[in-house]
Amino acid sequence: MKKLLAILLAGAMVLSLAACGNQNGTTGEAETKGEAESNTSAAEKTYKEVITLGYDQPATTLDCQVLVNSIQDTLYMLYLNTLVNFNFETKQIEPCLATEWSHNDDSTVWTFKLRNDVTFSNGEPFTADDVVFTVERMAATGVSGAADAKNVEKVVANGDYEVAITLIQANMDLPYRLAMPFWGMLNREALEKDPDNGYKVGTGGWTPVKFEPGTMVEFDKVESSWVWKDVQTPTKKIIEKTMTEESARSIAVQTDEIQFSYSFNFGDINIYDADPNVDYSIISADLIYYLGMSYESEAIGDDVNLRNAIAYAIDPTELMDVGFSGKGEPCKTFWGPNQYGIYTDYEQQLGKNLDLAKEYLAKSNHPDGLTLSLTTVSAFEQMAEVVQAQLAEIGIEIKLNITDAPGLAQTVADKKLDLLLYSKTCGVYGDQFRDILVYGNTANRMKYNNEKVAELLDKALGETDDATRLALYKEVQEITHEEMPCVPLFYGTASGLFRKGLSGVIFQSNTRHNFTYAVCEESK
Amino acid sequence: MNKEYVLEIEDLTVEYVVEGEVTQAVTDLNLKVEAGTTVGLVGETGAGKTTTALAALRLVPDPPGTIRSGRILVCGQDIMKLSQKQLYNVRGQDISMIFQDPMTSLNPVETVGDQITESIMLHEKLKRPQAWEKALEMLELVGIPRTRAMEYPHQFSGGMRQRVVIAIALACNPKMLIADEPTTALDVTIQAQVLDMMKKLRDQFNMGMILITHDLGIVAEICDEVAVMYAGRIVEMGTLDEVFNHTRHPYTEGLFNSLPNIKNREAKLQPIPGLMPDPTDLPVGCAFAPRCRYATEACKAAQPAAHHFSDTHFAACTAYEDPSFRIERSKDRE
Amino acid sequence: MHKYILKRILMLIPVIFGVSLLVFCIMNVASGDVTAVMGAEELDAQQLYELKESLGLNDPLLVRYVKYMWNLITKGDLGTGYISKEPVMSLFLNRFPNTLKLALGSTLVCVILSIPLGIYSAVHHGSIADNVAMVGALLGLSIPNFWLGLVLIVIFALRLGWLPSEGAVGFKSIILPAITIGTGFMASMTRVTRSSMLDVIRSDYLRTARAKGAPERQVIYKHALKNALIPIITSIGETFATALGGAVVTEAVFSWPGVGRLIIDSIRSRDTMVVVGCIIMKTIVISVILLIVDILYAFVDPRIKSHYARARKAKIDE
Repeated sequence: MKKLLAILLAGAMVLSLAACGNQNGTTGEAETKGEAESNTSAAEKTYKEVITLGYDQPATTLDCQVLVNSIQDTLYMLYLNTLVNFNFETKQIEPCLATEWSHNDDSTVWTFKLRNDVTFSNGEPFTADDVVFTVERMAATGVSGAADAKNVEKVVANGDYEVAITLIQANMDLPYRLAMPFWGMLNREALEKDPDNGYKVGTGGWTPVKFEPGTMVEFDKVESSWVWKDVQTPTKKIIEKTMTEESARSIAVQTDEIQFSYSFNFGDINIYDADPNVDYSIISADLIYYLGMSYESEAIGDDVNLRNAIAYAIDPTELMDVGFSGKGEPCKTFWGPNQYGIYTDYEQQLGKNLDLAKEYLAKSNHPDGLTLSLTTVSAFEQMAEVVQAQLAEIGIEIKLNITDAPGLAQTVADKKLDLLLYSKTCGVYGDQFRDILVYGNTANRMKYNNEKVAELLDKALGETDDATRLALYKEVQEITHEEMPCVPLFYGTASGLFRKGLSGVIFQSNTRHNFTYAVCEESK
Repeated sequence: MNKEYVLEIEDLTVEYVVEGEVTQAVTDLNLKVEAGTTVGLVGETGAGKTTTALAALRLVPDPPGTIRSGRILVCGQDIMKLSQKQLYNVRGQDISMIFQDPMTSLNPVETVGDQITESIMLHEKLKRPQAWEKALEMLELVGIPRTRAMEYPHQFSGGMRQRVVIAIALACNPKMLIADEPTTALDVTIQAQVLDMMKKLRDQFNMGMILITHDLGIVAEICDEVAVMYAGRIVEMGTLDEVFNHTRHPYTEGLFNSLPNIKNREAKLQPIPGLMPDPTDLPVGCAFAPRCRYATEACKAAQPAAHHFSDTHFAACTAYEDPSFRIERSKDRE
Repeated sequence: MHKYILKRILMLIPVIFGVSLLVFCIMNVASGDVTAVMGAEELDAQQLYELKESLGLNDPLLVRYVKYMWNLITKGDLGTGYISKEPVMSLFLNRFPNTLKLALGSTLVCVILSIPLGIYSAVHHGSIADNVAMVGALLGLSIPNFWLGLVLIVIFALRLGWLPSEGAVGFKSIILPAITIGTGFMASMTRVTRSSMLDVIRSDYLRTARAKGAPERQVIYKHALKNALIPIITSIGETFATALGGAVVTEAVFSWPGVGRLIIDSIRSRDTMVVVGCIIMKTIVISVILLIVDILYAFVDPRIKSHYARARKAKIDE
């Protein structure tokens, strides 16, 4: 009797688990969707004073020079301004704290003219001296922009509103780099007075007033900021919260506890379609998913035929389906989707071509196939399994090695890397792939060492003529298309789930969305 | 003169049912206790003495025990018909019980004073300070200095704990006390002290008492009447003099014979052969027959009837169908 | 008694040494280090080396450990997080009250559900209700926290809108996470209560209490339960200490800013300073709690209290 009861109850529990697995749609909300809309247009609109954002990654510092990633950059953009901005729609560099800029003939000396009407949140005026201070601090102790700062020979202020930066190596991409949020301008006075907190003082429209590392950041509006000269918003406070659990975060948008959730599960789209209070946005992102092949791997080495065999055995759309419910865009070249100089006009296009793959394999050092390890992080485990299945079709057996970011670094250091399934942020400027193509850089885990490519990149960096520059980058891509240090798979997406009444948010393909002018209507 | 009975048990039958097996613990038991008298309930372990006592307070654990039939009157009240609340009033106030092992009978985490006070506050409408005072008086009554009221049971010796148990039982002046082997777990010297005290209190309060024991010596000390139990039934009952000096039942005879004779150190011990029958499988006839040296076929055929030898003395033995039947012991005495 | 407490507190010292050394070694064995998450993708080998140098990561393990312990002993300083650059102590103290609140809430939920259930089961030992209760308690243990947490959120936050789904502000926010965690501990506490009560329920002094005329309720709750308390108190102490250990999954689901998540995030990013510091602090807190539980025994069971008193008296008489 006891046993029977226990079995029955266990069975009931299993059934209820299975039932809850398919939560599709909500009851009755689809019908009321139309009514809700007509009501709001008639009534007076009220706006939220506090907008809350939910992100999956924790924000652990407010010092823009220490750490760079998606959430950090997004926050920096609220309280800091850079010299210039990149407009993701027009794909042009725009003035921000700098009004105009120019460079000398060999693009080693860059001169910026600055706005004269900007103050920091502590009341101090923004001057060229602050630019000098920011660059020198980055060179001394910074991490996020260290690569740029180390290339600076000297930075000199000419008066209060002009500054000249002299580079060691010519760099046409300098404005693009300076547009990155971690190059926000800091205030010398604030940091000299309070080295432990002074980096929170910026010129932006918001200022951090409460910070719990890893949990939340709270921003209050800085009414005196130059940002509000021509545009005003009713929002008074912006709060960012770390909510690692995706389902809980999405539910929080539905309950109006937060107004924006960074990323959501595409498999649940029909739920959000049915909810009249929420909306979502999926945009293509500057993010490339690739399959790297290590040159330090004994089995692979520089066996170009094997590399190409692997490249044409992969079907990226299957990976997109498994990993991202089909959202994404297959790559045509190993380059960023919005990156300066992208070239896709190859004779042999990328994509699954089993015959071609087998042809290459026959010509390689392992015509009868071989066993390789595939390293990736746990988030990509399902996609790795698909790669495993796809490569099995041409006789390559894959052993999976699931790890995390630090573990990956260790695998590389131990020279145990064969294949790597990973992602990389892309930029909009030409030199962005240097970190993965040039030997010695951290992102180049494959240890790809092609002097010609490095030479081309260096040349292009300082090349002032547009056509020549494009040709140089085209040559780089043709080389990588042939040699296959990595198989470019697909470009990712950036997504957000938010309240219908949210507006004023600038969604950017680099996943750093601009919330400065965010406004949210109260929902009924 | 109408005798005032503080406890009347009529035709009591108690069974235990464990996993389908039925144990006949007590069968057709009749017992009456007058105010001021002490009845000794004697028998081997498993005879049903404790069950009888528990039944008198309706404390037979149910399950697995059930009182199949019988009427029990405590101070004239039929306790089988009382509600729970009324029953709580009767217990501790009209009838009290003290148990065998003083080591485990007291709550280890309460002071002795509290345990007595609890009894008082359950039955008398006193405020706590007054109840406490009364508890202290009870302590002194049983010979424990009142300064020790705040101490815990583990700080007392066995004999003193039993005194506390008695204090708790008598705190509300019950008319009837059942003492289930109160001195069995104590040293012999302490036994005497406790018995003395019980006698004194019995007289002081004019209580009726049932003293359950397997020690005939104690029975001789303190009891007015004796009832001998075997396999759930009373086989012989009478006054102390009648049962001790004019023993009738073969089992009672066997009990006396089992006692070592201090005068004759050479004599061999005379145990009763065999064991008590399995209480789940009692025979149709006399339960003692298999071990009885006087047994006949008639004994095994049916339950022996009670044969009276006086107003107060009877024995349930088929042999007495023959009026001339005498057991060995009687032959010596008469 | 005081000497006993002092002795227990002094015993903490070797425990802290042992724990910190163990954690240090484990973090070292784990592959990779914190630079991998600092966005050092764009650094070259030389810059990476300099970064590690500045964090002290190039020193051998033992050197780092000794430096760390020296810092801790002489200045009481738990170091600063590699990534956040905040002092570990303040990172911990920021989060600890939240974890404490949640642990208290969960333990309370567990106690409120388990003890009456355990008592009922013991009193009705062997009945159908007893079996259902035991299976129910087992359910609480078997149901994964993330599932239960999300289901509670969907019902109470989304559909009914009664309770918040995230955050740690206000009394309402603690209810759902406390229930999620508390039910997980129910199985153990209910069983302990039940078996402890079963042991006690056969006791003779309960019979004495009934013979006194005490109502059954008083017999169970005053006499039986009070004696059954010692193992139950141990169970409550263990539950509380375990809950303090950090219910990481529940904290993630409810975005509860507790120490558990801090430690997991720090492990993921190999921020050894934070991990070791937090674990040392937790060791101290949990040891203190267990000490308090031990001291509580003396108040619940007078036999233990007089054991101390006797020892003290013996000392005085010497």
